[in-house]
Amino acid sequence: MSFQTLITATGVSWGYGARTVVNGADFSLSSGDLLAVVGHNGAGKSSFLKLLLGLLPSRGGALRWHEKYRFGDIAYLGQRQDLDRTFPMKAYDLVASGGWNLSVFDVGGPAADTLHRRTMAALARVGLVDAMALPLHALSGGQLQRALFGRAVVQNASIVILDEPFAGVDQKTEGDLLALITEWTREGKAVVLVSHDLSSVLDCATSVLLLGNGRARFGPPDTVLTNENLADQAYMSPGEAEWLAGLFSGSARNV
Amino acid sequence: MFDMLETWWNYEFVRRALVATFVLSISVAPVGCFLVLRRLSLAGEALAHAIVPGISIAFLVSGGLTVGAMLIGGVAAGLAVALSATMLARISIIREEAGLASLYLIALALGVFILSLGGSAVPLKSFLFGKILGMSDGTLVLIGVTATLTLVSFALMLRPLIVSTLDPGFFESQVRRAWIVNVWFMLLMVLNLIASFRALGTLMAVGLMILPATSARYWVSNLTGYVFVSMTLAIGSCLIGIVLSLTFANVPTGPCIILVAGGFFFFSAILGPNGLRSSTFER
Repeated sequence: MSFQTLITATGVSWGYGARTVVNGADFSLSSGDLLAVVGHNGAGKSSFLKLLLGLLPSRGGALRWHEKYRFGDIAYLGQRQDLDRTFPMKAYDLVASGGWNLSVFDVGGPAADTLHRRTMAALARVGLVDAMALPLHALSGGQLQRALFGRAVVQNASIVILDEPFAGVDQKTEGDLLALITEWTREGKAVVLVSHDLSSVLDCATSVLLLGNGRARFGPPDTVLTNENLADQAYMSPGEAEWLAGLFSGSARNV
Repeated sequence: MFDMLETWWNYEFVRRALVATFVLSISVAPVGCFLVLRRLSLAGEALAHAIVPGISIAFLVSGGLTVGAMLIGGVAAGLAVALSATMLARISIIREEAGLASLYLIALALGVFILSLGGSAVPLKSFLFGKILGMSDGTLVLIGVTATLTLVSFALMLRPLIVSTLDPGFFESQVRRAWIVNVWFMLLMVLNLIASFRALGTLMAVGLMILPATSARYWVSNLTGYVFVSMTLAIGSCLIGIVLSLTFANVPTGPCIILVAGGFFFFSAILGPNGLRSSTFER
């Protein structure tokens, strides 16, 4: 598979309301990338995801898409608490909904047997076959997150955007999902991931976008996540920054 | 018993009431299900009152409750209140539910006020409680058209509606004009309110939408079953309610139907598998 550049951004700014949260960010995204988005609360992580999803216009700068994307071509996995778990639906249907055509006036979509095959394959891939008949309210947090990853598997988009995918899931699930993310990048998907829990992600991230103090730093993890950058942009104490940078460089990985 | 049913069936107004409520039940049940799932039950109630000034004006202008005038007035008033509440929430400090509450109260008072200006010939009672045993041809057509539109709409937009209810953030990220689903659903809601307004009046128009939907939620955990159980409960409430009101003198039909639906609600809450005896939703 040939890996290609999907997005190049030069000097892009974004924000919401009267506030521009990030000024002049340069970054790029290629197929096979795992881009980790890092920053303190309010640094502009969620609005960055909205920018990529086309829900928020950029405020200056050039955001260039190398391929034509339509709505629905980018898989999105939001924060789990946004989902209404009391909705009368089984885990199977949540996974299958990744293949649904969601345009109102266009009733097409994959044939029922094709969708069933894709759904069963996705359920197997996220390890949820045993729980597929359970209603959503009966799933554990980890199982629900597996189902949402399953929905993204069925969707089979070339860009996957994940917002805090490991918040509140157990260790086993986190490991399995991280393995799935790595598989995706090997298949040539580009994955963009926002996570507070850096330690789990940084081992496999190919690039980092560090947001904070209205600025953005982008590059390979070891050049971006230095003590100075983290203390400067992430509102971390020098001690925390040192610990985090050490975690990445490997010296503290076994702590 | 059967003799009695046969006697009633011979009356045209009874046949009309039964047919009208049967079709109405099929139409309002899926709307009610999604009102409950989208946590809009009380917003539905508010809109049922919000349509009153439009219908009052239509009543005075057209000199009676003609279906066309009622439809135009009701839809205009309902949409005006719903959209104003949304706008107020966007541009002022008032939240949407507070704005909606303020506006529907104003609308209801205004509606009754306008109606009173029309003089004593105006049937305020039928505005408040409906007139299920006096269904005109026009009303039957209105109910039929509403049911057809509702079912066709649901066939077209069921999946977008499911995903936008279940996971709105995901839905907005996947669809270009996500608001269409919300606006369309609101239109369907107002249309169904107007259809059931003639039968149950402004005070109880929402009853046939919400009560079967909340009752059915206690029994079923999948969407298809949920909608069908709601329809069945709505039809059952109408049938039993009408029979009871014909059996006992001085029992008003509309409230009787809603009371039967209320009986189903308590029965379901106590005995349904997702009801009070289930521990699934313990927090």
